Amino acid sequence: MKQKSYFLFFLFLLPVISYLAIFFIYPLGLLFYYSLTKFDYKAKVRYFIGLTNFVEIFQDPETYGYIFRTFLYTGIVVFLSFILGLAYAILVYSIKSKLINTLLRIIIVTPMLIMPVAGATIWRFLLSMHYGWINFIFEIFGIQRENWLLSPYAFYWVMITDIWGWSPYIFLIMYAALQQLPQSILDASEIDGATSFKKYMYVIFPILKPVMIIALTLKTLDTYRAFDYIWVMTGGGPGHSSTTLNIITYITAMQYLNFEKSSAYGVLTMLFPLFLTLSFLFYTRVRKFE
Amino acid sequence: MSEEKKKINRREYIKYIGAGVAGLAIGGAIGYLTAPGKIEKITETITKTETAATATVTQTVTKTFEKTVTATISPVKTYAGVSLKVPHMAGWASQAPGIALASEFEKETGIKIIYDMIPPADVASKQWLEVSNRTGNYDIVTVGVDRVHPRFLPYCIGLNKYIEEHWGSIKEFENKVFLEPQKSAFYEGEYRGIPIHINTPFGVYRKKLFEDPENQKKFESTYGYELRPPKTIQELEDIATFFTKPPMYGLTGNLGGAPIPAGFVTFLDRFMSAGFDVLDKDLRPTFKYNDKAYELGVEIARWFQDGIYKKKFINPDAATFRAGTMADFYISGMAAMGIGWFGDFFGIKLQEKEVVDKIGESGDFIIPSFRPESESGGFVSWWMHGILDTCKYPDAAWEYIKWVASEKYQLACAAVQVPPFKDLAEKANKMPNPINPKIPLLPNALYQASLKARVWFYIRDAKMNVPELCYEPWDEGLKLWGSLMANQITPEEFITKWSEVAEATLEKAGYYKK
Amino acid sequence: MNKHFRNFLIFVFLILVSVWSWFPLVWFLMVSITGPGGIPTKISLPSYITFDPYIHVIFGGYFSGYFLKSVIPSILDSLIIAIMSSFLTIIISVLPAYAFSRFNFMLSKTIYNGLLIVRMIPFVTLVAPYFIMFNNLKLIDTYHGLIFAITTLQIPPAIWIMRGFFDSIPKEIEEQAMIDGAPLIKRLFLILIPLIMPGISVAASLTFIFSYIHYILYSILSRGTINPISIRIVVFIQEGIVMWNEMAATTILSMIPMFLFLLFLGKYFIKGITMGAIKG
Repeated sequence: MKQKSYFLFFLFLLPVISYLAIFFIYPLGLLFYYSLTKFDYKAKVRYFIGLTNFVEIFQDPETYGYIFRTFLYTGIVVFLSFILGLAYAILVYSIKSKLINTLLRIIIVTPMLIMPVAGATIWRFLLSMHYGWINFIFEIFGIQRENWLLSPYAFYWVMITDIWGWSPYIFLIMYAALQQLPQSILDASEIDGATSFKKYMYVIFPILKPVMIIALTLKTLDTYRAFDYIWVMTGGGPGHSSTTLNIITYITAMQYLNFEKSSAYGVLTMLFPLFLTLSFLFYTRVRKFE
Repeated sequence: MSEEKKKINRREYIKYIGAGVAGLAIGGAIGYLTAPGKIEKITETITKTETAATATVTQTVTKTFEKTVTATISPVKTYAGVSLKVPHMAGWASQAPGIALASEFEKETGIKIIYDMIPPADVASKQWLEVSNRTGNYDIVTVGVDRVHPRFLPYCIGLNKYIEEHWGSIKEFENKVFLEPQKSAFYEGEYRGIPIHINTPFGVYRKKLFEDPENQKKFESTYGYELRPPKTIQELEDIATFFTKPPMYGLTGNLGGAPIPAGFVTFLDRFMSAGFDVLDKDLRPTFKYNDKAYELGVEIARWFQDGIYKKKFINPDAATFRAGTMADFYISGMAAMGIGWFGDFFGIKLQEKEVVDKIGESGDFIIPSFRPESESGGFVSWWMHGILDTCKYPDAAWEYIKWVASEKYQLACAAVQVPPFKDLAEKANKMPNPINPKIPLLPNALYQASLKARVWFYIRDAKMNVPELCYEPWDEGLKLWGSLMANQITPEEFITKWSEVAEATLEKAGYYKK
Repeated sequence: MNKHFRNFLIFVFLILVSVWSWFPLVWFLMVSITGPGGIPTKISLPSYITFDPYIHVIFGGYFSGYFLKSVIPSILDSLIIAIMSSFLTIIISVLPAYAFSRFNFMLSKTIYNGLLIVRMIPFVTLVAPYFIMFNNLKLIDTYHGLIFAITTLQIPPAIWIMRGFFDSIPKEIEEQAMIDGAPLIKRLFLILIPLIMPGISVAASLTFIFSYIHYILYSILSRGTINPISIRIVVFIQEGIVMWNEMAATTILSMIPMFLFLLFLGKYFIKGITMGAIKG
């Protein structure tokens, strides 16, 4: 029986593995290769320089700022997006009227449908000193007008835009999961006299846990790579105050035309969370045996 | 129980079939659409309208210049069946009129031009990927000075023999072209690029405000001289202060920091026009090793920073402006003057009836120098075409380049850029603007400024290009300028930090061997 | 909690959510129905209303010295890539999702977590390798090229989402089918996959949206024949172009297919399935 299982398992995985082998493993290999080379444009040759790119990266004091900001951004954005997305899902789920339900779903999902480039541009405009509505509203509440994307808070405004743009992602996943809840269990808990709050905490959330974990994982990985909003709104500025690993990887490739060093940044970007994940997995596995 | 289960199974089955049919329908529709030729059919009507619009424009352009344009493409052998792949910058107003004439070129020579319109941010990197990997997918390169063209020079063929053939001799060519920037296209004994575009910052002002008698009286009594376009930096400040009554400001500019190049370019433009280069004859940053350069750099940076934050005669949003947003602000009437990349807008947009109705006519002025006694050329944005060594038909490619450098193409674009050839630029400066015949096609200020403008990484004292300035130092410059414009660093810090980065980069690139 | 108070709270949340989600879009809508100089700087309607931007953007033409091509072919291009990519992703991902859900060995866990890497890689680092590879395979500037590229990035989340949904289906349903003598294939296609429909529709929607709005790989892997709408929009906001109204109109137009797709997918599948399956 086990033989059959293994065989079946690999059969099912075959299409994915072969697809990824071509379109991912190979480019990944090239990525590692590039990160260890340098291209001399005058001599038109690429030559091997070992870990020099990485040494350069780590000798640059800015690098630690990039790493820190990447994690700061990821942490805040994921946490708030998740809460917001979940709140959306619960809100829509509680609405019985089909009309309002559909309308609300459209309204909530809209920010995700605007191309990040367009969305970021809109927010840039909204945050500008004289044109923008945000300053207009702030003035009404007595907050002084300011050029927000040039202030020390620029990075946080980008986070707000990211949360605005991507919380519908969480919403879609969680709402579909809520839809799938077996009605029997819901009815049972209702009969037992549970209040809404208890119902959610003790019945629904535990069932939804696997989907929540998946949503969180996806959102974390995506936010870790967040690029569009930051790039269009501040370009990493002012100065370096909103530059994350992804931004510097992009700049190194597309503006310095140094694809090799950019690959090194890419390897660093990938390895960091991998390192963290492995240590976490290792830690939980060790704990299991205790 | 099994009854119910059977019902469920059947229902599921039907639902599944339904989904499958829907999927097949969608798949079929897509297959139909993606089959070659079908998309063309659907977009045919749309294309027809486009072609009609282009035809109208081509006619208008040709008609306008028919009387004055005497040069045509010299008799050439036709190249039947040859096609050239030319990358270009998408949305580039300066070159748009010329590109619209491509069909004429095709008719006259039989060479088909296939453009790849690349978004501005990717122009350099996309071409670099193709070129450095020798894919041969492009025949010609289109690269600009403010970023990367030196990188491409080793991959372009030498053009000296073609130049001699077309212009008579290298000397003749150097007399005709704007030579200062052209020097940066020299590599290993030959010129490897022919310029297609020049632009440089200049100033615009709203005539209505300046010619108003009320304003003139008040200004003269406050400042002691008559109200007219500024000739010195102090006058620029005075006039800007005079006209500032928020939300209206006396001066705006494209002063944005990273990733916008315009702000740092404005700084470099003022620095260079005061007679300095960023590096000295030993290729060390003048900001660090030359007291006068340091003073000047700090002065310029402070002037702009205080202009926004302390003296407030520049609108605060200017610190985030690129050329487009600056023009918008100016057109909305919120600024009395503007300095920056107005080349793309002055000739057409600012002369349009709607705009003139709203804010009146605009005049142009040369941006005053911070050191009038040692005036020199400012920052030039210079773009060139080169022929790649992987091109299979270099002769045909040369035909295209000749055509781009020709009077017809250049004059068609002259409303929104400067022709890189002295005789054509002069001609454009003498021709009337088709929309507003009272002013020249090529505005005076832009013309005068571009005659002297030079490439920022060509160091005169060392007589060489330093392309490494285009990478880290350029990007750090943009970032530092952004911080300066955000009032987060002092002008001294701006200058000092930039010098450090520049020196470190050149050190690493091996320029200081000894 | 008092029912009325609860409804009132929900109502307040509704308003807040709607305003928060929509006010940037409202602003942009206003920009799209006015002309140069009409952009509202205070919270008000634009100073004048015109639908010119939409006309310009749908039919193309020559405006203010700049030549604008119609955006409709671009939207079609993006749609084709997005729809095909969704299909391809789902087809490739369904079986592995099931496998990961039902088979539980160490190797399966490792590969499953290994998919993390695919999702962690910054896009820009794929630019050069993809460029070289696609150039050699002659996939540059083709629909299938772009579809393959974008699908690669969508496979891990599709697998994870569908696996999660497979996981939350109680084993009893499958066991019953097994007892009834249904072979694996029949179990899979006739029972499980229909039950997973919400998961599939979520995965398909997310893939669709993601492929539609993606920018960087398309910009490198296309060379003019294919013109995804994301690239067209980006061109609008870069140096020198002052066509905010047209850009706004393009953005609004580009959102319409996505709305329709989500509406269609969401309504059909979720309604159909929740009616049928939950009753067991």
